[in-house]
This record gives sequence, structure tokens and C-alpha cells, in this order.
Amino acid sequence: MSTRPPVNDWSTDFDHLDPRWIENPYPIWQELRETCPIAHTERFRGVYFPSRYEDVRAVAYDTEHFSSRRIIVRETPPPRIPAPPITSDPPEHRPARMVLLPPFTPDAMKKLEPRARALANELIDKFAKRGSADAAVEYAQEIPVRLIAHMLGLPEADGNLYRKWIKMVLEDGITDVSIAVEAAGEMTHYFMGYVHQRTEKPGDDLISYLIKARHNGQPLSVENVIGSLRLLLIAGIDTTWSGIGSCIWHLATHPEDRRRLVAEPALMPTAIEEFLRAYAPVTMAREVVKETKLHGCTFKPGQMVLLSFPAANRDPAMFPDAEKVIIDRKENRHAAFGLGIHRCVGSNLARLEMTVAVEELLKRIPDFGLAGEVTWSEGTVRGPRKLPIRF
Amino acid sequence: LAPELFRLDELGNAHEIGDGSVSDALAEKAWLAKANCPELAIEVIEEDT
Repeated sequence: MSTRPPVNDWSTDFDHLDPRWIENPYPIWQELRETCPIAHTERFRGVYFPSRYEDVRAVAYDTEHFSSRRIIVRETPPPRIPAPPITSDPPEHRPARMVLLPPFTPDAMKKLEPRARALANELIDKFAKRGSADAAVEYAQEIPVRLIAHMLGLPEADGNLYRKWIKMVLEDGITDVSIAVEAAGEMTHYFMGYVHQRTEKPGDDLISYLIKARHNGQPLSVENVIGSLRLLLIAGIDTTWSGIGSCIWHLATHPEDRRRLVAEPALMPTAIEEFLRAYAPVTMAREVVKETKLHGCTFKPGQMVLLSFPAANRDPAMFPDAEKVIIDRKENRHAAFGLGIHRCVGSNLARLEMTVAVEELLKRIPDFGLAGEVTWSEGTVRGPRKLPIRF
Repeated sequence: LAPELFRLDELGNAHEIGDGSVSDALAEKAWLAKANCPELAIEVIEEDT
């Protein structure tokens, strides 16, 4: 990222691909919240950045002025890559979302739990005796890849392919949209084969479920099915991989919290919610489609809004001691899964994966620390991409 | 957080059980649910009995 012009003023020229923002954005957001709660940049063809919880919430709820047809801030104007319902606005949004909800209820997730626990242990088996591991590469990223492949009825071994597409769409595609479009084309081609196959011979998997799904008695269009599959693959992997990685990073760097969680496993649910709050991985975006004002700031049509749930989650007006990770925080209305009609449909899956990943790791390896340099992803989803640990 | 007070429908959306009245024994759970609902969708109304 050394080729990007350096940022001198975060309030008028911010750049979420700046190395300082990637490495540790929290002090930048804290400063903005105090000095310029709705920042703006001319980069990326014009983007606003609200850093307070109440403003992030207001934008997320206002689908009249802020559209989801573009949800990633990119350097170049997109050909849009539809992935309903996340890229849909009302009224198309609701039916596309309703279809996706039943496979992700807490009850449906309970059925996945044994596979998730077995999977976590298979991964730990591979490095337990070594005394060291890259917890991001060898553990965190493998769990969501394999579990979503399991749900879709796809070969778990295709994980490398999925990771390649995700990087093309969410990282490389930010500065060169043709890379994102290329990935979308490859994904369409890949899924089309399975859609034909499962239409002929349905199974007990999510692809077959989407093919069979009906809205007002009508099947979903093939385009809709493929778009939703693209969404499940992209949104279901990178995000949770980052969430799990951040949990492990925190526990590797905060031994007091790690020891407490080992001693008091009943704290796990509140600890996971707190990790979700403090290290929320996902920043979405909206396109301004109608001029509007928020706290005296005019939002101009055609420009984008970076919708940072991670920044909202660190707002001290909403969360006392917001910069502190408190694993038994009692009141925690965090926005890690988004707010409003686009709230994450996979939140129960993400919670299951994060809980299982942390529980099984602490059971097998209760004592670990960092063993080298950590690198963080850039762009839409934040999490460790290299996380060397020693135990 | 409070499975005694809320049930999930087939879409995974939570609804209050019965008419939504809460026994004294579960009052704390109702407040806990309110304190953790990200959409601010839970309201707790206290009544003298």
C-alpha cells in the first residue's frame, strides 16, 4: 500500500487502505468521533465516514436515502455484482432475505455443532504437538471455509478456491474492479454446475434448498440462487475467519482474560459478544441515492458511506469503557452483525463457529502467546491474516 | 439469554411467550434481554401488583 498518497488529515482525506488504519484504526476513530464525527474523503470518488454509533445506526435504518446496491467502497465505479439480499433494497429485499433465514436459525445451527467441534479438533490435531502454529491460517480460516462447504454440500477441499475468490472480491477488487468481476464470473460458473446437478438430483444441502425454495409459489430465478450462493460463500467465510482470529489474538495478548475463560467457561457467551463488539470484523457501505442531512452534514447523491459497525461498537456514548475489552460486560447492544433490515442472516452460524473455535482451542491448548509478527487484512473485513502463536 | 421469555419462529425471529407478562423470578432476565437487544426491540413495562 506504499504507493497510496499518505493521509494528512483523517477528517477530510481519510483512506481506509492506509497502513495505519489497517494496523490499528481505533485511535483514528476515537479522534474523529471527538473532532469530526462524520468525516469525508475525496478519495474513492467521495466517501463519508460516520464514527458514532447513533449516526451509523441512522444510516443503516434509512433505506430511502442510502442504498445497498453498492456495499463496498471501490476505487473505480462498479459494474454491480448482485448478491441478494445484501445488495437489495426494499421491496425486493424482503423476499430474498426471508428465503435465507430458515437454514440459519439457532435450531438449525445446533445440528451443525457436532461437525464444528470435530472439525476444530481435527485442525488442532495437526499442530498440537508442534508447539507453534499460525492460528489464522491453520485454524481460524479453515473452520468457516469447511463448515460453509459442508452446509452447501461442496467439497471441503475446494477451500483454497473460495479463499482466492474472497481475496479477489474484498481486497484486490477494491483498487481494480476487474479482479472482482473476474472472481464473480468464476463463482457463477462454479455454482452453475452444482445448480444443474442438484436440480437433477437434490440433496440435503443449502444449494438444493435454494432451488426448491418458493416465493409466492414461484421458484427463485437462477440468477437469484447464484447471487445468494455468492453471498453465502463470501459473507460466510472471511467474516467469521476474522472474528475467530481476533478472539485468538486477544487471548494470546491478554493472558488474564485467557486464564479467566479457562477457569470460568460459563463466561464464554458474554466473552464472545464482547469480542464481537470490540473487534467487529465487518464494515459495510451504502450509496447515497437522495440528498439528505445528518447533524448538519449533507450527504450528496452518488457518493458512498463507509458504514463502520466496528467504529459504532467503540463509541463511548453507547458503551461505557468502549476501548476496554470486558469479557463479562452485562449490557452489550453491539452492532457487529449490522443494524436494520440487512442484519446478518448468518449471525447464529458465526456465533457457533466462534464459540466452538475458542472453546476447543482453550480445552486443548489453554496456555499460548504470540510468537511473531501479526498482519491484518485490509478493506471491508478486518481480522488477523498471520497470527503466529507459541504454546 | 432468556429462552423462558422468548420463542423463535421458523425464520429465527424472537417473539415474547404468551402475553409477554413476566414473573418476578424472571424479571432480571427480561432486563438482561432488553440490555442486549441490538435493535432496541424489547420494552420492559413495570406494573405494581
